[in-house]
Amino acid sequence: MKNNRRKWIAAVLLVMLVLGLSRLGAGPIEEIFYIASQPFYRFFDYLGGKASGLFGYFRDQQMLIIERDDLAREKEELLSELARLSDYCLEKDELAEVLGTESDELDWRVMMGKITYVNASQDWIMINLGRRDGVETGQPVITSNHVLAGRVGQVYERQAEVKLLSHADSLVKVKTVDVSPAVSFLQGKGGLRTVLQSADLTQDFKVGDDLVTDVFRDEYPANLLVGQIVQVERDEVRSMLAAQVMPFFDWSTERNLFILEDF
Amino acid sequence: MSRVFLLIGLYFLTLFQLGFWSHLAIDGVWPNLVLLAVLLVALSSKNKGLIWLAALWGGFLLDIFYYHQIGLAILTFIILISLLSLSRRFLALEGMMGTLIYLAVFSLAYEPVRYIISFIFTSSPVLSFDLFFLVAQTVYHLVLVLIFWLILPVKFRRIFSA
Repeated sequence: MKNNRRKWIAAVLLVMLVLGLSRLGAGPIEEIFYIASQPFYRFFDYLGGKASGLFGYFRDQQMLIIERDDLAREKEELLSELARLSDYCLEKDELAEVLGTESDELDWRVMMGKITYVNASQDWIMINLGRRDGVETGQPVITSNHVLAGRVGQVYERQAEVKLLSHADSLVKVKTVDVSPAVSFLQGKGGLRTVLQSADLTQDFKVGDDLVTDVFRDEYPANLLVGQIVQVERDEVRSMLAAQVMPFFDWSTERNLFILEDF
Repeated sequence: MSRVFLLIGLYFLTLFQLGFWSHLAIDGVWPNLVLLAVLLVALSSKNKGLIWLAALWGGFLLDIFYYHQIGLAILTFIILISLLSLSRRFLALEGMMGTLIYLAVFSLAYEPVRYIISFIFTSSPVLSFDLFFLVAQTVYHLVLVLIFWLILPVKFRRIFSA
């Protein structure tokens, strides 16, 4: 019984002491403890700093690996975007080139398509524009450099055939680039051959002459680049002039073609 | 002799917590080694004098080095140890699992009790303890105790269990 009473008295005194100390504040006592503990505290602080650096190293390593993976993924995404943008850029430049070379050509309405298939043996190529895009048979097809590629042949729903200048059905009125140009027709002969024929032997066609389109039944706009004469033969007996022409259009270097809807 | 060891041990443990472990806070959560030590002493010792000495001295050290307000941690420890003694009278959990359960419960209770006690010392205490912090700190405590047990030789492990 006495023991219990003592304990209660001790407990009450203890609580009063604690409350009393709390009112006085911890200032001086704290100061003494801090000064006395400084060397030990510094030692533990130093060890903690070292340990933290060690753990930090592993943590940083882990972070760097995660960051590297993220960057690699981001790089791939950027590269794919860059590739897409460069395509757009190229197409835009080509479009601008087609539309902006001459002032009167600004009125042209063109459709841009990509070459999807080449049939060199039959002198036609396929592009990814078709009936749904408004493509019609007979429309001229050019490159961004105003080089005549040919004319639209068979049109399908999603694609269209382009008959090249060397196609047997192709017939284009051409002229030389001169003040007083020589004019004639360029005939496709198949097998990637094009021949310029004229019944007038006096016409001044010679090797090296560049040929451009001349207006004929509104089939083509004038001055589209066609090709260069590589060989000229004059048949005096039959009074015929035949010139081998190498077309400027080269499908192996072109990706995009333009169909002239309105010119 | 054991009391002297206890006083010195808790003192260095406080400094260790303050100097060393403050660098190893995980996501802002640091372990309260003094609380852990006092609870372990309370759970493992049958010497009541030693238990109360641990509570008073540990609380005093936390007050001095952490809260800068003498009495806050002392009273918190007194209440916790009283509750622990009371709870063990009604529900005696034993062995290592029992120790872990008691540690978890009283680690979780420490901060709320401290905030309630802070009413006595301040007119407008901030009652906003972070639940995430409490749970994370408790997990931290349990992991440390498990590591401590694994490091200890088998025959000493029982000493630090309920």
